[in-house]
Amino acid sequence: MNKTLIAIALGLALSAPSLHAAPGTGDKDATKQKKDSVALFRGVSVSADMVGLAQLAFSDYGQYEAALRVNLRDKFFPIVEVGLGKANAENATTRITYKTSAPYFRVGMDLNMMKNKHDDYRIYLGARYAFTYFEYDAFSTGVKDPVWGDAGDYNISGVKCNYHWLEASVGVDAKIFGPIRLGWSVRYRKRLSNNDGDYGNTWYVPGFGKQGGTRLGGTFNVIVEI
Amino acid sequence: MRKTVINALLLTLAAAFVACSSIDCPLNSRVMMTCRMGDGKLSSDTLTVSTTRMDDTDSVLVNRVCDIDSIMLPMSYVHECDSFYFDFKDKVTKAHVIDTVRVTKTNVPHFESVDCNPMLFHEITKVSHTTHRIASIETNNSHVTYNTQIANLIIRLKEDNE
Repeated sequence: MNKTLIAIALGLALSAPSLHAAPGTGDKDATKQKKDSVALFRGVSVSADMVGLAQLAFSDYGQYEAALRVNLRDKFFPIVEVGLGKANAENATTRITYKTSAPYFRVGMDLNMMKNKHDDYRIYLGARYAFTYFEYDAFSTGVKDPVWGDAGDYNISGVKCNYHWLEASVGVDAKIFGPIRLGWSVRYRKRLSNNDGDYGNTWYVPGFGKQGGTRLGGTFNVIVEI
Repeated sequence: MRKTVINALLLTLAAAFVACSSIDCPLNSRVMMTCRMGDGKLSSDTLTVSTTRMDDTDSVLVNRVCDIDSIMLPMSYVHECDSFYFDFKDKVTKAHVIDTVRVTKTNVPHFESVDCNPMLFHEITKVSHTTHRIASIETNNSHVTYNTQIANLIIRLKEDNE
């Protein structure tokens, strides 16, 4: 638990000047690092995101998400993330129900920003390209016409949409015991292109969150590193 | 002290994960058909527009307007054809002239967000009318949305002595 808290604290402290400060002005020879001689391939890790599961459990939308990450010299971490985003939302006031369920994919790279790359703790800066192709349904029954007085159905079904976006990521993780690590990341998502279909907007976009030009999100990962 | 700092950090983290919630419904969410008077302002008459509701009662949509160059009319959610009764009342003689305008259209559901009320846009396919006071009606923009800036119909009236 303490390691988890320390990992969180480390990540929040990323913006602190101390971590960005240039090396001291002392003797350069004294601070010069020895050449790193670790192997290029240091292992792989698989992880699952807990935030998406919590969203699924406690809100109208969320996602199952897993990632495969390769460790190169403890510094470069190419990563592929795959998820299944789901939404089943009904607004009690407007009585509109929105449903979607579709996979999404992200591919990118994390960089370990720690000075000691081989430490149990890591601070990551990363970027991802992501996309999803999905369909949504939106419907409501008994929509009453305020002028004519008739009631009719409102039904939009199988609207084909797609979203492409970039993500900037800041995160930390820490070794807990054995191959198990815990970590979290904060994601800034910027939409690149989209097709919302022929009926207006989408609402929840798998992997992106609620539709829009930008979105802030996060993950809390349980990681098994081999 | 350490516990306080950790609590503060956790609170900051929680705040970061709670995204700002906003409802992005369009400010002008009423879908209306805009009818522009093609010959400038309607100055010699007052105009009342009504329609017949599902229960055969009349509903006044525009009530005794004058000196206007355009009016906005709602469209029904489910009907394929809406009938509007344009009642022109001469300002001087007080005589009534009534024209019936029938607008045939398709109804297309439009989705903004689950937080916004369901909306239907319309595609005008045909307009017919009687010609007691109205000379002609031209379809200028067949898409009826909540953008009421572009006139959908341009209505031209007969000259007073016609």
